[in-house]
This record gives sequence, C-alpha cells and structure tokens, in this order.
Amino acid sequence: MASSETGPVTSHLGYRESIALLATYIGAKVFTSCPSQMVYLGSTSGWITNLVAAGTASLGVLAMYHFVSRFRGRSFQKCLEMTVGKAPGKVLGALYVLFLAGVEAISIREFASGFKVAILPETPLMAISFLSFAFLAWTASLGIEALGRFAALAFAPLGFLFLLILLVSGSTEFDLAQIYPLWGVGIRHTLAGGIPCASLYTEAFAFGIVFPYIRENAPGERLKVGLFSLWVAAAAMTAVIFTSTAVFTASVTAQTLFPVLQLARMFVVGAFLERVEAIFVAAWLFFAAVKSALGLSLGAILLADVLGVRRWKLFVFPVGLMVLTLSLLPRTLVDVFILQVTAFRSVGWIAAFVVPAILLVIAALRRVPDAGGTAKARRGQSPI
Amino acid sequence: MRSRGQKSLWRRLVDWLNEERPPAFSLDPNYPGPLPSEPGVRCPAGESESHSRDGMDRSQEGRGAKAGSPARVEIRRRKREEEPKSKGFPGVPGRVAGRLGRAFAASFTLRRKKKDAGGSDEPAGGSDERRNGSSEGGSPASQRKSSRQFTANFDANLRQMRTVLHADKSSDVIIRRFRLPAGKGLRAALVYIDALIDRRTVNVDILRPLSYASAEMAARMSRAVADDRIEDLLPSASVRREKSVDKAAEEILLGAVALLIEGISSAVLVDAKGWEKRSVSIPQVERVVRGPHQAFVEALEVNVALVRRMVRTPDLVCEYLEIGEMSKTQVAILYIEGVTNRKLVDEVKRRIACVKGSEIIESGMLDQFLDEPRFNLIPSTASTERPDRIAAHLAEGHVAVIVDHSPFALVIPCTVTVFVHNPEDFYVRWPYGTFLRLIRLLGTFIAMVLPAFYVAAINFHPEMIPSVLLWAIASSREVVPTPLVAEVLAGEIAFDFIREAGVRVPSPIGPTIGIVGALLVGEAAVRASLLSPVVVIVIAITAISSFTIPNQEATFMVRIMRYVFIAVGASFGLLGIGLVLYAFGVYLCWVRNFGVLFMSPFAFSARAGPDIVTRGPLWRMETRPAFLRVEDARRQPWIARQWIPRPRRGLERHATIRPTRDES
Repeated sequence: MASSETGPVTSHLGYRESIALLATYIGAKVFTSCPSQMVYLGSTSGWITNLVAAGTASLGVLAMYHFVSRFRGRSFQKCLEMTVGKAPGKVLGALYVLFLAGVEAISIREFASGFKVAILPETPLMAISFLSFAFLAWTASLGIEALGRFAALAFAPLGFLFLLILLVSGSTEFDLAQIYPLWGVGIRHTLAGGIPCASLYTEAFAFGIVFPYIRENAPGERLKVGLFSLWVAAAAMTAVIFTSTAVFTASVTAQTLFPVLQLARMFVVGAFLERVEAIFVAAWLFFAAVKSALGLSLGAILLADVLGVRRWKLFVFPVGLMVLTLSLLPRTLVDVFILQVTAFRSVGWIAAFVVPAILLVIAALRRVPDAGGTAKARRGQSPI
Repeated sequence: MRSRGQKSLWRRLVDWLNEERPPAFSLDPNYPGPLPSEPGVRCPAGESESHSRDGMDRSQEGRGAKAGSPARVEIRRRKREEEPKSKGFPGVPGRVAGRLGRAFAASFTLRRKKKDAGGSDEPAGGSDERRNGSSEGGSPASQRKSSRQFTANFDANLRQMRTVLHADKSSDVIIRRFRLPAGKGLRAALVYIDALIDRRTVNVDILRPLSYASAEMAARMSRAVADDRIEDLLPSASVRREKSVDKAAEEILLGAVALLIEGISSAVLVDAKGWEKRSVSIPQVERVVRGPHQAFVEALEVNVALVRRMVRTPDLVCEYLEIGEMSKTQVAILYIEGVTNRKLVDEVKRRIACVKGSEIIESGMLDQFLDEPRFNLIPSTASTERPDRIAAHLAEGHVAVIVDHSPFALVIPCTVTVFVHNPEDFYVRWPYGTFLRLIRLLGTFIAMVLPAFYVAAINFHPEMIPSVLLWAIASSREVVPTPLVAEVLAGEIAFDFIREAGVRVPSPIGPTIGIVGALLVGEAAVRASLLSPVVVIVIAITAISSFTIPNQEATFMVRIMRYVFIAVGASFGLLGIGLVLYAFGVYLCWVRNFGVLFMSPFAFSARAGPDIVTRGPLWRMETRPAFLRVEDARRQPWIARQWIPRPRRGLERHATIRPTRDES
C-alpha cells in the first residue's frame, strides 16, 4: 500500500470506513486513563477542557489536510521529502515512525495492564502482550482496507454497547450537581489549559498518513473524514468525562485508573444482569485492537516509505516487535502514566499538529509541488 | 570496490522488493489496483494471459527480471513463439481472446468461422455445440494428440481406433463390423463402449437404416453418395463428422457411436448415450419446509434442464467447458446475459480454462482449484444442491457452475449472504423470513462460541455468572474428575463422532446412532461422572444450533472455529475469545472472492436492497445487489404490485437508481 517512488497512492477506503477507522483510532483511548487525566487537569470543567483540546486538534487536522492535499495523493513521506528535501525528509519520517511507535507502545501497555488488573489478574503481563501482539501484527498485515471495513462493521454495535453502558451505569448514581462549578478551576485555566491538552488527540496525526488512501467522491470529503472522526472521538470522550464526573465526582474520577471500567462495574439491570465488565472489556478489546493494528500498519507504511520499499508488509512484524519491546520497558502502570504525561502529552501536540503547520508554511513558501504540477492538478490531470 | 554503474546490495534489495506484482481481480471500476496484501490471481505461464485492469499482458512477469526489462521482453517473446497462436477474428478484440485463454480463443474462432461460412452458429443437436466447443478448445494435451487423422484406408482407421481405445484389452469396447448395401457392399464398422450407449438407439436408429436401406437407395449408393448422404440415412438428432481419431475417441467416451465406412476419411459420430442415472429426488442437505423439493443429480444435462425450467429466459446462457486432463469432465457455466457482470463471467471462464488438474470429477474439487489464497478457510464458491437456489442467484447476477457427475452446483462468487440466507426465507412472508434469519444468525454465533464462552466464564470470569447459577454448576461439577476444558472437548469430539457416524452408516440405522449417542452415551457419561449435566446441555445446544446453518461449508468452518475458540477460551478467557473473534472478523473483511468482498454487503456500503440481515418485502426488492456490479441493476419494475392504484408516497425519489456514496 505504500506509495511508489513518484506516483500517487491508490485510494481504497470509503467514506464510512475511513470515519469508523479514524474515529476508533483516535477515540479508543476513552477506555484508558485519559478521561481521568483530563479531569485531573480541568476538575469539574474537564469536559470543557476536552472540547477546547478537540478544537485545537481540529486546527491541527486542518493544517495537516492543507499540507497533504497540496501533493495530490502522494504519500505522507513523499510530502515530507518534497517539502524539506530528501535527506531531512527521511530523518523527519524516521522520527515520526518512532513517535508512532511510542504512542502505540503506551496504548498497548495500558491495554494489557488494564486487562490484567481488571479481568485476568493471574495471567502474566508478558503473556497478554505477546498474545495481543501476535493477533495485532497479523491483522495489521492484512492492510488498512480490511481494518477499515471491520471498523465500519463493528463500530455501530459496539458504539451502541458503549452508550448503553454509560446510560445504564450512570442512571442510578447520576448527580448533575457534581459537575459544578461549571468552570472548574477558572475560565482562563480551562481554556488556556485545554490547548496543550490537544495532545490527547495526538492520534489525529494519522489522518495525514491515511489521507491518500481515502477515496474522495466529492470535493472536501477527505477533510470531512478528518474532522468528523476527530469529533466523534471527542464526543465519546466528553460523554465519559461528563458521566464519570457526575457519578463519581471530579476528585474521585481524577484518581480513577479506568473510569469507563468503573462505570461498567456499576452496570446492574434488575438483580440478574450484573458484573458485566468482562463483556465490556471485550468491547474495549475490539476498539483497542483496531487502534493498535492500524498503528502498526501506519508505522510499517511510513517506515517502508522512508526506506523506499514498496512492500510495507515486511515491516509490520519488525515495527510490532519494536512497539512490544517499548511497551514492556516501563516497570509499572504508574511509570506508563508518568511517561505518557511527561514525554508524550506535553509535546505530543507539537509533533502532531504544529510540525505539519510549519511544513505547510514551508511548502507554501517554497511553492512545492511546483507551479506546473499544481496547475495540471487544477485542470484535473495528474501532476506526475 | 564496486564498479561504476553497478548497483549496491541495498539498491538491488530495494529493487527486488519493489518489483511489480500482477493486480488482484476486482469488479469494482473504482478499485484502482491491488493492495500488496491481497492475493493476486495468475494464470499458469504459457497457458493463458493474465487478466489485468489495464489490459496489459502480465502473464510472464515473474520473479526474475524486472517488468519491461530486456530479459523479460525476451522471455515473453520466446513464450509467445512457443504458444500456438489463436487466430483473431474481426469484431472481437485480441485482449478478449487473451482474457479467456487460448482454449477459448480457439473455440470462438471455430464458431466465428462457421458463422462466416454461412452456417448457423447453433448446431443441429443440442449437445453438438458442447462437443465443438470442448473438442476444439480442449486441453493442450488433446491438441497435441489431435494430429492423428482418419484416412480413406478403412483397415488403418479401424486399427487406429483399436489402438486409441485399447480395444484389445478393454472388453467393453465394441467394434461391430457389417457391410453397407451399396455396390459390392462397402465395409463399415460401429465403434462404441457398451456401457455408455443405449442399445436400442444403436439397433433402431443406426444399424437398421443402414442395413435395410431401400433398394433404390442401395442401387445409388456408390462410395461418393455414401460419403455425401450418410447423415441423411441416420435418423438421429445429433450426427456429425470428425476427422481426428483422438477427438472421435473422446466422443465415444462420452456416449457417441463412431461409424467408419470404407473409403471415407472421417468418422460419423452419432449421439447414442444411454447410461443409467439417478432420477431427480428431494434434497438431502438443504431441506426446506416450503419450497421446491427437487435436488440436482449426477447428470449434467438433467441439472441444466432443472435450472432452465426455472429461469425461462433466452438470456440464460449455458457455456460448456472441459476440465481434467484425464477425466475430461464437462462443466457448464451458466449466467444471464445482460445481467451478470461481463468481467465476472470472463474471469470465471478464464480461471476454469486455466485449471489443469488431472481428475476433476466433483464440483468440490473444482472449487479447490479456483481458491484464491492458498490457505483459505472460506471457499471462493458456494455449493448448493437446489436448482431454485441457483435460479435465484443467477437472477441476482451470480455465475453458476455445474460439473458433470456432481449433484452440487457452484455459485460464484461466494459472499456471506450465501452462507446466511436460505431459499425458504423468500418463500414465506417477510416477517417470518426475517425471524428465521435472525434465529439462524444467533444459531451460528452460538454454535461457534458457546462452549468456549462457557469454559472461559467458569475458568476465568465466574463473577459474570449469577450466584445461584454458579452454585448449581459447581455442585454438578463436584463429582467430575476431569478439568472443564477436557470435559468440553471430550463432549464436542464425541458429538462429532456421532455426527460423522450418522452420515456414514446405512440409512435404516442412521437415526439409531443419533439416539444411542445422544441418550445412552450422554446419560451414561453423566451417571459415570465423566461429564457434568451442564456440559451435556451446552454441547446439545451447540449441536442443535449448528444445524441451523444452511450451508455445508459454513458448518465446516464453524466446527473448526469452535475448537479454536475453545482452545483460546481455556487459555486466555474472554481475552482470547475476543482476540480470535477480532482477527477472524478482520480476516473475513479481507477475503475477496472473484473480486467481490466476502463480507458484502455487511461490511461494504453498497446498496443491497432490504435483503441483508433482515429480509424486506419482496415487492421492495426492486434492485439487484450492487456489490455484484451487475449490468442491469433493475430486478423488477419500480411498482411491482401494479394492482395498487397509486404509487407509494416518496416513490419519485427512487425512480432512478442512483449510486450510493461509495459506489459512485
């Protein structure tokens, strides 16, 4: 699926599949500790902080869209190389591969640890990680088109299950008074603090890599895909933050490891259907698996492009092993959280959104791709 | 030191990795090319050109030299020189012939020549068309053999026939000599295989007219007249000449009688087939309560006739092919001209023409030759024994393949709907049909994961089970000495034994096996504390659920996957089950059969009408499934119930078929 040396990448992903895939990729962390972190930062106004973060991320997606759409279907790596030169472009691409691997490593570790804590306390972490890795790498090698179709197939029923858990779990203990004061620690802090929280949506950066694979049936449809998937994920995150704050209070939510899991544990229908968190964790597993497999695919595609190799599939297992190794480096789950907050959340938004904006400016100043190519593209011809 | 211009090892490695691969076949006009992860389809080198989207010949592009390189061009040129060239004919582009393979090109060329010569394209006998197609477009082996020709020497001709048919060793090869009543009496002989012909036909329709011809005719019957008028003497529907000894022998093996006459350098082939065949009976595997109770039999002509009786349109095309180097099995490819996507038809024909197996005597064997990925759990074709099912699929735009000697026909391409839907869904009112489908889907899911889920819940997640039920299960397992997973596996394997035994044993005692297995063994196992009652219940529910699956291949798939689920459920609980479900789901979304996604239209936003999971009213199914890219999307008039005085509200909106977002 990786691009050829010069030609445009062929498009396969439909509109619905793209949205489901990217929304899953961005929003799967709703099951992890991310809602807690947002409440920790924004207190009762955590959900507003989250919306500000999503708004900031939207600007990043816009910048990314304008950057990659200049190149008319070329791969992200090719865009980098055409903008900043071949060698710097390859270095930048390699850095992005490492960035993606880091994000994926944290995601997989959180998932494995969460599973161990919540469902399989006796099973070694290594066993969970290796089993997950084997399945994720295999499905990643089937390609993002298959992942997209599966995401589109599973998104609606699992999304419905997710909403059901939220509604039923929150219905008995829901107390709207607990989301007050509305502005939490202050308007200024909420709004200004929300901008770096865009790191929460670092995964929206993947839109740039997936972009050339999205089939565009109408002008601007790819932009819709980017923004819509981001806001679907943001809506899910907001719903979780809002519900858990209203049910557990802000202070408890901020200290809760996995708020959605705790909400699922409160799921009681009558006196019969209870303790269904295992089923909930299965739903978490689906979202996390699609997210991780897509991450591996994208890492492999980017790495293959950096090395100039067309068969990206060869790199799935090496990238997967790298991610697995990275995920097992932190000793405890606390170390993972610290790493996540210090290393990724603080600078993630810069790598994911600011750098593409800078690249867009450079591309505009350097007029790449060249004017002839752009003119041809405007006339509907391939610039290549 | 590397000399100037020599590529580095890295560069060569990258070049090798970047080598072009032939694209996967797809019906989707928007599908711009293959994903590297998807299986490519390649015709065997030298047999037929591979089918590519851009029409380029990629059959020779292998692993050696880079595409377009001088070495590759040379290889291609040599291969072309070695191949017998199929002559083109006006009006049919060369690439069409390339697509269909050399065998088809030859067949088409022959028909075209006949047409150009003023003859009708339709031969006198219904089976003659097939004979022409198969004999002219036969395998390379038969083309090599076809150099032996009949001559004017009667004895030499007879000797050749004896040699080809091994008449000295084979007792059932009959050579009946006699003299024609012409002049001094021309020597003649009938050559046939005793078991394959109808003796009455030979006696009444061949020997009698030839032996008791009128005196006038006998007087005029010189050698030249005999050569000219011999067909007129034989009152058979299918009579034709054959100059090739080997092709005549092939026809004899299909039930023809060869008439050799002194001084005539060809054999006269008369269709006289008459072997025993089973009569049409009720379906054994796909039974329904409401609907036709007819199933295919082992005779190809009968099966085609069963389909033709249900699809009485002249647009139903039935093309014959011959497969199997040794078995020479006849294969009928059925499709509806103007409905079925032409690319799909060409691809099916190309693949079947490219099959070079030795003995293919059942549709299941052909199915395996048509599979795309090497290790595919999903078949690329779906088999059915019901003519009504074939008729319904043909009307939707599928291609059907019927193989001689097989009571199962193949539906191409196989999609998930073929596995889930049942003809009976359409024979009952739509709410009942929808209910049946939902029950069937639930049954399929239960048959696949229930034992695994039970093992996982008991071993890893007991908190999910309500306390009272958990106590009941624990008390029933108290006396069972084996681990739960062993208990479940033993029960499942025992059930599979019973199932297989029930199929193999003679039918009068078949039901007894089921009763013995289910009642006696189950009851005895529980009493002996080998199995807990709950496990017996779980296995029984699983078994009953598996019988709701309407397709045999789907049943096999579910049975295999059940063991996989039990293994991972016993090892990793719901994590394992979830991961396998996820991976299996992605795999199903990845598989393409003949360019169509297996999961269409479940995981593909193409219009399929109200006929996916649920089944809408028949009068709402105005269009054919879009994922088949049919040439005529309209299945029935927009207002199918034309007795309604006014159209439905909002009807105008749908008056024209518009592509959905992802189809456009």
